[in-house]
Amino acid sequence: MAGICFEVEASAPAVSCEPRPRTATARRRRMEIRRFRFIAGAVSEAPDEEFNRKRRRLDCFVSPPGVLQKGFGSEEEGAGEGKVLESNLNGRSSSPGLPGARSFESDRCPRYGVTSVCGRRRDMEDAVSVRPDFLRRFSGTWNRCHFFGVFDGHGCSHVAASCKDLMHELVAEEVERVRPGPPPSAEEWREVMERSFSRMDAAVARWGGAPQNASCRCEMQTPKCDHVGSTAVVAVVGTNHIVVANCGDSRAVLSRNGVPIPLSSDHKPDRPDELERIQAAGGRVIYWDGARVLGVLAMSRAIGDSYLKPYVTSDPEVTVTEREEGDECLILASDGLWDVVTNKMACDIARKCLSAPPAEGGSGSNKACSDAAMLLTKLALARQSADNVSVLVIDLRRNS
Amino acid sequence: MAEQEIFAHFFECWLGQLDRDLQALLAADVPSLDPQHQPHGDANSNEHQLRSLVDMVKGHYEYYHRAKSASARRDVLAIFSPAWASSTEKLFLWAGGWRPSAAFQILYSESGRPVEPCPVQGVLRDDDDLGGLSASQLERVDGLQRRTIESEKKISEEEAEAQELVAWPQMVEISHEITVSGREVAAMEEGLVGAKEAMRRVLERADQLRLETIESVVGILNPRRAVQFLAAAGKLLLRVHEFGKAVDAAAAVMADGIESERRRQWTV
Repeated sequence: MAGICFEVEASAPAVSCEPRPRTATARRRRMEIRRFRFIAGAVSEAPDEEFNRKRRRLDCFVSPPGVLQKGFGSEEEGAGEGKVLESNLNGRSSSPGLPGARSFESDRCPRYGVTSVCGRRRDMEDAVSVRPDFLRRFSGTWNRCHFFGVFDGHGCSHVAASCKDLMHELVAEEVERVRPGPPPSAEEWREVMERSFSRMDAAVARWGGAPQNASCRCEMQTPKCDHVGSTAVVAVVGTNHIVVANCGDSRAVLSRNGVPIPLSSDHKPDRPDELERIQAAGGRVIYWDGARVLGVLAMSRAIGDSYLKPYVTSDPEVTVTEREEGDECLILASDGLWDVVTNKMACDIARKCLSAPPAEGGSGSNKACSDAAMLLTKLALARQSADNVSVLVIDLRRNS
Repeated sequence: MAEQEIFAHFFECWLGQLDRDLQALLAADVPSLDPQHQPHGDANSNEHQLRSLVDMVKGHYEYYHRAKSASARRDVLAIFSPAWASSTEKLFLWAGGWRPSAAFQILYSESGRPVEPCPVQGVLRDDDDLGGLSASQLERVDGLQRRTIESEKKISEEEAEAQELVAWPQMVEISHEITVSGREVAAMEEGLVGAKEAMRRVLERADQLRLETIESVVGILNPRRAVQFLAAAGKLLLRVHEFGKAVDAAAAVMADGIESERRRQWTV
């Protein structure tokens, strides 16, 4: 498990991106992380080369705004307060992140906390990725953006692990490709995310079969293991906006003025528009311990799972949300949390933790984010969540 | 007396001990979350008492595993087909005993059991909040759980290798030739020596892991939680045993009934 809390200035040296360990088990964890990185580094080069794309997909699936909006507002009356910019923005003026838009004073990485535990499962298949200032190598003042991702693997851990290692790089490359100069508009962010997810999906489909890490269980399935996949919920937090791209049943929820606003909508096979899409593609949804695509997979979109293509797609749904003064925090978590804790309860608890007075001798609200993540995790375990639980809490308050 | 019977007798005695331990754990003066019900005497001496109670119970588990290990050295077959366990208990056997990772399930089940107070209130105490696990404790439990499951998998692999020895060339050769003559039976016995020894080592490693898991879990928890954990584990072992025995007894009565009915029909 990683229990992390820290704050990184955008200008901080690269090394401070590494979670600063605070516990007795820190050394072991650090070694695990290093091993991971090293192997991942070796792997990520080959796909990158291969990635030089023949042709980029532009015909991305966008779910009907009506359905999307309904999904967002379903949990809480009045959740419509959350202004989710839809794809058909025509005026630049409403694009978040443009210079001249209302700008907040600080573009440092928000404080955040992560907890990720095995819980009642025998295998850990969740992965969490945090990459402060991940667009650093592209100069410019607009692009102090911070990448957060939660990936919940199934079948094995290696697709989720690959997403953790690679996704932010793909997003960074796509941002550069789309718009080397000024910040991307909402529509451009959507394209960036759709291409990144598509490339990520291609990368894991091409994955040769050699186990990447010790926890990978795929030795027996070489040369190809296409029964493995992962959800991906990715948030890019910029000075003025939050871009969330989601594929699968992990979720991002924003707490704004005390109200939970889902920034993603779970991809379940029985969601009416998803059901329609699957059936239109010639697939079937079979109810076998819940709704499952072809009776197998309990989510309708995922990275990987090439044997269920095209019914299961890796196209993300993307939302671009302008940051507001009333934003308190953003929670990204795997379904290990959301299965047993409502959006509202998660936001209430996170807010409560964030507003707690700094502990004596502690680093104040720095620790508050990890307290929130930890507490939500414990609540999920106490409520008998049957899955791995990964929770990422990001503090969005401006004057904290 | 056959090894089976010797160990069965020991097992009954040990269950008695487990039950006495359970009563002691349940009666322990555990500090409550409710400020109205605090233990008598000062907190330090209470903690000391709880610790020594926990150590005593841990000692009894150690004692059980030492006896089991000694028994396995005398006759490994008996330990792997335990006549003292009910059919229900046998359903859950792993490498000759309970699965170490079950300890974490007990812990997590137990942590969810107290009726949730409003989780938003008082959640930031590092000691006794939800489930009684502090952040660092949960972190250590999670790490321990992952290592324990890794070890379980390794031992399962060793068990697989040991069990595959049954089809070693020598054994297959003997099985082709075997009649009922004494020479081949002796050869078969000879051939099984390696497999039996390998299984005994598997058992030893598994028992070691079982003990280490109890030791480590209890080491992570504060005394109050350690007492509750051991009580929950003891209760589970005893109740499953009692239930299993009852089920087996009922099945035996039914079988007897059928048998006597059949005899009655034959004699008529």
